[in-house]
Amino acid sequence: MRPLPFAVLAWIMLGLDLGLRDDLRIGPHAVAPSFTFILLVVVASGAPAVHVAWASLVLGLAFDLASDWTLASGASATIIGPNALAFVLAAQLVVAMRALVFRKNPVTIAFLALLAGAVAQTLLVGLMTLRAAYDPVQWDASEQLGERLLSAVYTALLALPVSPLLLLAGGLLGFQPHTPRRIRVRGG
Amino acid sequence: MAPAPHHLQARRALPVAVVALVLFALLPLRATYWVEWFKPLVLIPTGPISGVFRSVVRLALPASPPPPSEEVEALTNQARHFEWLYLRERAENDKLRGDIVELQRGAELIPDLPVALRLAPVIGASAELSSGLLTVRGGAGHGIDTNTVAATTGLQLVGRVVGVSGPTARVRVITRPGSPKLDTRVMTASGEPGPRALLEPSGDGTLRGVVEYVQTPGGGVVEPAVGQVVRLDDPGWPAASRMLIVGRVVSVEPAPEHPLRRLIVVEPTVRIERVAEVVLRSTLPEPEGSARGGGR
Repeated sequence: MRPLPFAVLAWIMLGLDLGLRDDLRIGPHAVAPSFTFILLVVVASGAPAVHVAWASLVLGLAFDLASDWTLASGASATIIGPNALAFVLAAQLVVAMRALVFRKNPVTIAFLALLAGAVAQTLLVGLMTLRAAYDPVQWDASEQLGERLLSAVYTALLALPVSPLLLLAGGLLGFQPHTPRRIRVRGG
Repeated sequence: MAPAPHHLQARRALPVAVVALVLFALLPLRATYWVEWFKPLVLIPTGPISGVFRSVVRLALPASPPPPSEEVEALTNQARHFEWLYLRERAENDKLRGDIVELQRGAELIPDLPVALRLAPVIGASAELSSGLLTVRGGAGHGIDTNTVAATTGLQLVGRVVGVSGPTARVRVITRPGSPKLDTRVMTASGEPGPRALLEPSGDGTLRGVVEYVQTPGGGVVEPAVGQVVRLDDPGWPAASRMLIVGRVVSVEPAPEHPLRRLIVVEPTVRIERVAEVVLRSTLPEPEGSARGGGR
């Protein structure tokens, strides 16, 4: 995978996330889709496994640095790790499943985004619930889990129109075409 | 011995990176406060592009309905400004009267503090939506700190700065769940400061709270009414925010737990989360030698 086109796409997707999150939010809840996560699923569906792991780590770290957590005192704090680990786990799930699905289909990307999103958000809620036991973070695990699973569904729906554009950029990212391994039979 | 190929090094470094992330994810905040310094690495490059996306959407979905004309809007803002000046001076006057009484008892007189204004575009929200923070352009170099408050040009209170990273600041919006309660004043029909109300965000973009029970000299009760303006009068907030507009009363009903008191719902005059720019109001330090009353 080519790093420069990936960096440019990551920049655009993170910019879309930060710029439009408030407008795409459903009602008063913290339910909103993530463009960055759709990019992660597209990359994980086509790039070599090692590149996927590092790409998910970088995207997750960027998401962590762009996130703020509210403390009981009303102040805000930055925590590195929850999103990065969630993104890595989600990417590994997509890598494990990609051999079983038709990857160039937006519906497949949406389906993978839904599954990977649910797994990622569950891990994140688990980590933050653990952390809330000793850190003064404002945190309601059940409310957060509900909102984050709905966000995963919302992200999957958004992946339907967004993923075709990202799949088109697959060539730009330098994904190798996936060809089934040939088995040579000796003798006969 | 020849070095390992690049892809092999990347593969070997991966578990180390994941273990480091697990540690960072679980270390207490007091041990990882310094990661805040790296926020500009993401916020500086993404700020311009997220600001562009946000501005494009703002054209289609403005924070408030379009005014009848620019002249009317300018005059309305001017009228609001003078009303705010009058109320602020009045509140300051009341405070100074109290201070003089205190001074006569030996306490120090606190002088009037000047306010610095800075127009700052809103460039995005926090990636963690539950935090309820807006990111605005304006950093410590512009005198922005956690004693800065954000308002609209129409003097509608937006929120308070809770963090500054490089050239950006993060503002906690008053209407987001989890934001602290606000001590406010319901303005009477004649524009005088009326009863106090402690408002908290209800989660749907409004604030609600119980109004204090105030009796008039004639024995009646000061009742809040729909349409009345509610202003901030919270000693826990910086002086630069005093008497800014919190919103208008949109509903009055009996308080469930206090039959004699009223529960009001207050709606901001604009959709706060959709503002394209804010005015950052910072209290300036007092100039040397300007202390009054010989208190300093």
